[in-house]
Amino acid sequence: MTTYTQTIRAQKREDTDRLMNLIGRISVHLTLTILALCCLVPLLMILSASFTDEIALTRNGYTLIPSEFSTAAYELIFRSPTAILRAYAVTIFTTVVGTIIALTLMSMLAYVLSRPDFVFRKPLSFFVFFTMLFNGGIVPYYILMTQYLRVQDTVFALLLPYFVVGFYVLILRTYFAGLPEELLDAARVDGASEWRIFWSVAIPLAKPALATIALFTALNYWNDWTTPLYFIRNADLYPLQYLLYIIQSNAQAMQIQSSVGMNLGEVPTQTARMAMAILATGPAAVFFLFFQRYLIRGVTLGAFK
Amino acid sequence: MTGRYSRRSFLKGIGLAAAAGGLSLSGLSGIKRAAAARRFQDLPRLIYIFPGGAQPDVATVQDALSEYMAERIGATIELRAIDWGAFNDQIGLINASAENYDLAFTAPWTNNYYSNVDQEYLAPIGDLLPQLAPNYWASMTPETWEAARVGGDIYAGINQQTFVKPFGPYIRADVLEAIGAAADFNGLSSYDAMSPILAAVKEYVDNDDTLTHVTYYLDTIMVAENWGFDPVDGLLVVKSTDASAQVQIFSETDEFRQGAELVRSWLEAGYAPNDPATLGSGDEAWAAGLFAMRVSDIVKPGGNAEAESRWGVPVASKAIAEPLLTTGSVTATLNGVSSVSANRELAVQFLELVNSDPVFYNTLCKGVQGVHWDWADEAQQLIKPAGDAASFGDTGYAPNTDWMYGNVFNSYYTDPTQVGAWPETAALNRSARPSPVLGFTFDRAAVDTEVASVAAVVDEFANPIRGGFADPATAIPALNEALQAAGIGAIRDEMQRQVDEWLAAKA
Amino acid sequence: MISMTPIEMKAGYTDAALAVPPRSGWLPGLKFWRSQRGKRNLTWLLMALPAVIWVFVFKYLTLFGVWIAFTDFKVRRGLFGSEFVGLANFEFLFSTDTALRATRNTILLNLMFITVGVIFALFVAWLLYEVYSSYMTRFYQTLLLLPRFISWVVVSYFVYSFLATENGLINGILRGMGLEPISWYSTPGYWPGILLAVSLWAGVGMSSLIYLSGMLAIDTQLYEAARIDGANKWQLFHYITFPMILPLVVINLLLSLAYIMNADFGLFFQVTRDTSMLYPTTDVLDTYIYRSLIVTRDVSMAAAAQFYQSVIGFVLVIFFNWVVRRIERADEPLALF
Repeated sequence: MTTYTQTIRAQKREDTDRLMNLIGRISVHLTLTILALCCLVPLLMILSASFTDEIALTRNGYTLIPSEFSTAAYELIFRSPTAILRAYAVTIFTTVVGTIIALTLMSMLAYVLSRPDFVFRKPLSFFVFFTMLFNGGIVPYYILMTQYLRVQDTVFALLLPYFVVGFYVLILRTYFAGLPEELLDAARVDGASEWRIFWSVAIPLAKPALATIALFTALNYWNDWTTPLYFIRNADLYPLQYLLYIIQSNAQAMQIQSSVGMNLGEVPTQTARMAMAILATGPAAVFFLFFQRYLIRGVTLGAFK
Repeated sequence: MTGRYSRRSFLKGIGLAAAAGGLSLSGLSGIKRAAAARRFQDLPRLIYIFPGGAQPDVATVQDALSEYMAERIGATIELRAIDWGAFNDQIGLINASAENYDLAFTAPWTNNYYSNVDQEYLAPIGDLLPQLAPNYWASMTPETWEAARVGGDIYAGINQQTFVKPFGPYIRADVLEAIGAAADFNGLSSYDAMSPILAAVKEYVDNDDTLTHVTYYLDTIMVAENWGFDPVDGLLVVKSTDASAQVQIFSETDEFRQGAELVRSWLEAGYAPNDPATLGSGDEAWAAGLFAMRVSDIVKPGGNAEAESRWGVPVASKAIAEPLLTTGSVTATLNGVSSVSANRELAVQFLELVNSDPVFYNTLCKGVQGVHWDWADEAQQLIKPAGDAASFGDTGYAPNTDWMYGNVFNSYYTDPTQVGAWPETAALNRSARPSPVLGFTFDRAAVDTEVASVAAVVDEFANPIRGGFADPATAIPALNEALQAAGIGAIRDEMQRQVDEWLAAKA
Repeated sequence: MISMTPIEMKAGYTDAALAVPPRSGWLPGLKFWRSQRGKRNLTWLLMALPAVIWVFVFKYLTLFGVWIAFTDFKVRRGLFGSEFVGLANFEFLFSTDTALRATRNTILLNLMFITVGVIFALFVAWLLYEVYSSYMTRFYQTLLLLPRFISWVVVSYFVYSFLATENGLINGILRGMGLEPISWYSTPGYWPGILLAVSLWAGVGMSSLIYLSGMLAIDTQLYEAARIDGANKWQLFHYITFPMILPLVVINLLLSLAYIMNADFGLFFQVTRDTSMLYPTTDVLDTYIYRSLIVTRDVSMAAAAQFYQSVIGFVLVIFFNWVVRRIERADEPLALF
């Protein structure tokens, strides 16, 4: 595997050049480190806030170390650990299965749309683009899902909505269009079928793009709380983000209700929000950190020969 | 699916929270339920939808209620709680797609009553109520019932509760004692008279380590009720003493200007942070003990005890605004019958039970006696958690939303400090001055573009005035100009026309 | 094709000698489908079919709902039983200065977000590409993606802790330096910049990824060849990287234009804490519509607002797509359709 840096080392022999190169690399790392810290520090402060006593947080503001350690926020959320674990399971299932299906459907469509001699390339691209802007709104959608497809309160309701996203299809199409046509033609000359060319030539070449769109799609599934809001009433099927939203909104609603005869007690609202952000982000971030390498590995090119 | 074994509760303690365990039903109640289900299966089953976290033990309560109903009205009930965060959206879609149900909680603030009537989602029950719910009908005055009337008919039953919400200041008891102004505070009869107290509190706060401000926001002073108006719709108000019911634009009145100047002078005196973004973060800061007063909030019987339990500090309060009975305050909580319901009559009979039968009502609110609660003192109507449960939340059934289901005056007390609050509240309701337009409801259909435009304009100009951040001398004329440009004049005229028509019909 | 500069492209370079791919048209005859190309096309149709069916069912079957915008919609009367009211539902979008200001803010802020966003994303993608073999890159990329998980509500708490007038971090620093503290939440002038910073922070991880994966697909031999010719870093970017990912940039810009009338509600509503004194620069169509309709909850007016936003985006995309088609090279299509 010929990497960029190795190439450079091979070519630039003079010391001054190497020094300049080093400075360049250091400044790139420095810039990226600063940017990454801008993203990390808030998350650390959220982590710290989620372990801070609610009152202390209001008094002292956000700090990197909890000013007064408390696990009340997590206790509120973990009143029912089984619910949280089940919600993780639902979310992981919909994210994995949904992403696989969506990526398959979208890459097939995008590949076809990227073929220069596909006769319906333009009308079909327009057909997809149009749906990015115009839709019938929630009521027809709800009637379709509940009265015709009858998927309410099933896992299908959580999977179906993101199978084809116009924006991603058109981005993927652009990647596919950038693939060297000669390679596909060569496969064709070798007698490969169109399906085979798609799976064995186009898909491997488009791995970085597919990984990107897979990540986007996975995030859609992971963060989705509006679909269950409309279609899921069975608590066993609550995905993580929705469960967190429900815990929050129930707590908040109870706090707002002011009716005589109620001891409402202290509810950590701000810290609970922070704890939820941690619960929702943590596992996904760790997953991404470890699997990112596998997603994009092997595509540092030169492979196009 | 709602309200079965697997739902979890997000309520805990008399407070709340997430979730007790899933399958918390005992085998015994399971057997009982199976038997009950066989007995009731031929009777019509009413579906009642309302907001709330699911209770683990709802099936026991549902069976008890069904048994009770089966004997009396020949129907059973299914309690379908939808989580708070999802209720408004889900009920909206259930309505819009004509899904079947019988009863639902409705209000001006969630599952909007008026748009439900407008969209014909709710059945007219004005004729059925006196026939099929005679005790319920008689429990409120005809004027009160008028408040639920929209365009000639009544579409929902009103929950008897605290109708009157007079505003006034709250102050931390320790601060009040320290500044020695208890007598002055309890004698307050106007907001103007509060200035010396505020000055004294400011001095105290400046010498205190924890407290940072006298108060966090001043804008609640500017609610129309504080200045003797019925806020019919947004800034359009009617003076409570004006029998001819002239519709006025609140921001054009002298009272508004007086209030704005008062608020401005308090902000300039440093009684609240000079930061418009603090609005809305008040509860957290109050609980954290950062400020000493809430200058204007709802003062009601039992309110001090509630505030203390919520914020952890003893407080004193004093109502300043005159108690006023308005359409808005009466219709704050309602239960409507769906227009797709095949059991309209039975649904109205359910409303009769839940509003006039304390046993039935409290079973819905507090659960089954002996299972979820026991008497602490029956003479005082005071209950405690059943068995060895530490709190009501541990009993498996504590929705804690009595006000949602029916007549709260029938509700059992759960805390000794609250005993006697209901007769007091009832007396307050009776003592209130009825607004000259009590029972009038504004139909916005003819001016909906103007209503939308005004709604979009009003906050930008009015919020700085309400919070004291803008000089009233220039900001009020700017506000009024913007309102006129957005078409408030047309709304006012339309409302006046409707009010006049309504008055003529009433006479 | 690689060495072509953007300038040459703008000149409308077309090479007649290049095999111009057949323009797609409407149903060709039977003879076509029997040909080699026709059979390929049939396979492709089959390949596209599952997604096309999904789009048809979920997006087109429900499209009749658009009609709601032109009626006084009452569900019980049905879509076509409801009274037709023409454009009355659209009036509130134009009736006041506030409405027009919201339109202006939406367009100007979005234009700023789009341009700065694309440049910043390209920059970050390029930085990541430069050190892509380093194991640190995994951490950079992961960390840059984190903000995407944080809801706007949580972000708003954060921004507030920085900008609060009395105990905010920034005013604390200003005071420490002996400067006057700034009342951020009552000074609209700062907010386009603040919101831009927040939106870049939240979005750059995702948007740079699109360009990074485009860069990773470039044949490294091109760089080697250019370097032997003595090209410096900037020249490499200018003559190789940028032209190679230009199609992605163009598509991204075109698709962003589609949403020029839509603002991120969470960003403008939560992060500003809906502070009304900031409206002169932060009130956008989505927040304006929200405020207008929170009172009436008028379904028809909501549908009208959405339709209006879509139509403007649609017209813009169609226009710029036409412009792109005028300047693109036949063998390297950039346009959407």
